[in-house]
Amino acid sequence: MNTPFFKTLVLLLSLTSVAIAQDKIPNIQLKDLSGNMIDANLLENDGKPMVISFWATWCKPCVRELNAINDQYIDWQDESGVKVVAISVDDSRNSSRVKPFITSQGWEYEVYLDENQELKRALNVNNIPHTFLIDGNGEIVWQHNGYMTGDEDHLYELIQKLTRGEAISE
Amino acid sequence: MKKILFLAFSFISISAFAQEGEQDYGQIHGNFQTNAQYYLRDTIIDPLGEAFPDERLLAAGFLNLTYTKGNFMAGLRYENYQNNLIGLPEGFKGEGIPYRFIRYKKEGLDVTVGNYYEQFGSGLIFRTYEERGLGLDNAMDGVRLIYEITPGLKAKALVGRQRIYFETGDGIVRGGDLEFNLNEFRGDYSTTNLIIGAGGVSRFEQSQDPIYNLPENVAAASLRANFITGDFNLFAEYAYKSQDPNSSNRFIFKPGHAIYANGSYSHGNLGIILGYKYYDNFLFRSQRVGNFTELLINYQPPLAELHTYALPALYSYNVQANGETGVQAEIAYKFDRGTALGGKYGTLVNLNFSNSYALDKNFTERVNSIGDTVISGTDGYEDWAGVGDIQYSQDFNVEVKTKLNKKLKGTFSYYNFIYNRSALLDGVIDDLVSDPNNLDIVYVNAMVAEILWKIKPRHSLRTEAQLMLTDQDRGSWALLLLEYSIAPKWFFAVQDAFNYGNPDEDLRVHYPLVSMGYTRGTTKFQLNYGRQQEGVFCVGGICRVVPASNGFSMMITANF
Repeated sequence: MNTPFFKTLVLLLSLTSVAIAQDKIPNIQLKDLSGNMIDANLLENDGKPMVISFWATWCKPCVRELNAINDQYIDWQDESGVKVVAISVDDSRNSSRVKPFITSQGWEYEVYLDENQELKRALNVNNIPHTFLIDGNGEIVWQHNGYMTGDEDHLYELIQKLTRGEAISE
Repeated sequence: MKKILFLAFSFISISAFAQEGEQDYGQIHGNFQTNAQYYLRDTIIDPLGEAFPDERLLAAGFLNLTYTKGNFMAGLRYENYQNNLIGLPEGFKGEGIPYRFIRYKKEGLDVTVGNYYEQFGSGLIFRTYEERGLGLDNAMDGVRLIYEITPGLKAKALVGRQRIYFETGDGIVRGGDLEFNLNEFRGDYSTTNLIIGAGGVSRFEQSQDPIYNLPENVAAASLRANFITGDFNLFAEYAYKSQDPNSSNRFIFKPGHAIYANGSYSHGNLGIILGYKYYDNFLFRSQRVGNFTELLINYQPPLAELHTYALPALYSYNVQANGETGVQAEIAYKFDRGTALGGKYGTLVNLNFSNSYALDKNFTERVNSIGDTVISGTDGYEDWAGVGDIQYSQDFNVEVKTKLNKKLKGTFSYYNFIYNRSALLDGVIDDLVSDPNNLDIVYVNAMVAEILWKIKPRHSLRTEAQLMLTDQDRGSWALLLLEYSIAPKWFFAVQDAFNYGNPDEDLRVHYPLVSMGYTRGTTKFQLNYGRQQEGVFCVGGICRVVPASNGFSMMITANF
């Protein structure tokens, strides 16, 4: 076996145990639909919860998830002030489809492009859809991979917990 | 290199420990995936046992670790293949750390040492990326600098060699890119913007060919512009590649050209997209000799819709390395609720058309040593070939999405394909593709109805009924899928694909598959058992053939 690797691993893992949980979005550039660049670590929602969802135009479960949230988004916003940020990992094949796609879907999310999947990699997202819940301090408090119908209800329970100031322990 | 990285990591760790008492030690995150498959011998779908591995059980997996602290980032990926699953490149064998990097950002400078993924413009001259499902990973190993000269003007420079399995390729890749972003420059983030970019990439590979004087340095350059104003978005990129005789273009000494352009309009409920592609001799690898997805430096966007329902996906488009041209048009419109077509909840309609043709290659002739006129094998063909007679593909599809009532949602789609099997699947190229003996065209009509039934809170049933009709190739198919999920933890699915129209009666068989999945926090388990049809798995216009198989498979993924 590769001993340097294991030494490194042990060191890194032991480091995690002392690291203070402070999970923020890394400093990676995203592009908005007008071609403006934004640093992902600056995404925020004014002290209120924020959902970041990684998706692509060709990913059916992703679209199902964002549609399901969209059906209730107005109520969610009214009740909790939550903001949903949809980050498309479509490559140059499909990135030009993103804007017409969201327009016709009628989504009202903040949408960004992560064209060569740099943020996706930095956040260790393996497969999409992958959803992060960020609290008012910009810390990642929960994440979930995949989508099943009804997951959005669970997500909303967690958002409400955050709004009530409760901790998320899953 | 490994030693240096190990030292660097230890240093980070030690310095982090040394700073005890301070608050920020940085963060470590990662993910993990493992796939294992136990194969059963199935003499019906694989009579000769070609896709039946000696190992019976194959497993592959990886672990990513990323450390971040402020503007500092470091990471590595451990991969293991014992051995790689059937259908994926066999070159991935054994275990190791093929990916590790250190990255630092400060005052507009962004430095990466080690492995990195990067893309210039739409990727026509440079794109390194990872597509695990395809077994594609052409990560660079070297140095990358990104520097913001002034807000709105960004320069990138890189050098390195590319990953091939657990090694790096022979060719040295060097590149630079400059991008100007008007809004950033003016500090005004309006919805009107102009982005202009230019890039260059070159590859060096020694040549010791006894016959040909092969160029050791091959360069490619591109120019691109993106104009965005309110509802309109126009993008165009042109790229040129110098003479690059290689195993994929049959060692012709001819420059390459590529154009990729698209325009879109989005307003209210309407979205329209038009696209155009022209790729001539534009496959670019960091080595003259390479197969499939090995050592690709660039990416040619396929400009065709990516289908994900199982049956239509069997005829997915992949970009033709030796040149092609085509168009795409798409219209999406949402009929408002309360209108005649919108119904009670609104209806979304999406129409998509795309095609691809071979280039009309006018092969250069020359007089050989005995005075005969022959097609020159080294000159290739005339530049700027027009649209050829041979069609690679045509795809027309319609999708209608609607909510039927409070608990039911439906998606109904229709597909019509013309699919040049000789070129797209059998890999017949150039002059041979116009040979009538090679003209194996498949005409396909397919329909999919997907119904989602929200039975009660957290419980739902998703049904897919698919029908694909064709008289060619493997004939017609029908597929039924039932997927019951209990959010947020469980799902159970049964699927049967029936190749009832196969011209070979012995192959008119069922492909049953049962699967279940369990999610706990960020860990996900999935188990499948059954028979899987031979198919084509495609991402981003690159496809791999997945052989038929029978057996148990398991997948575990986790994030931490």
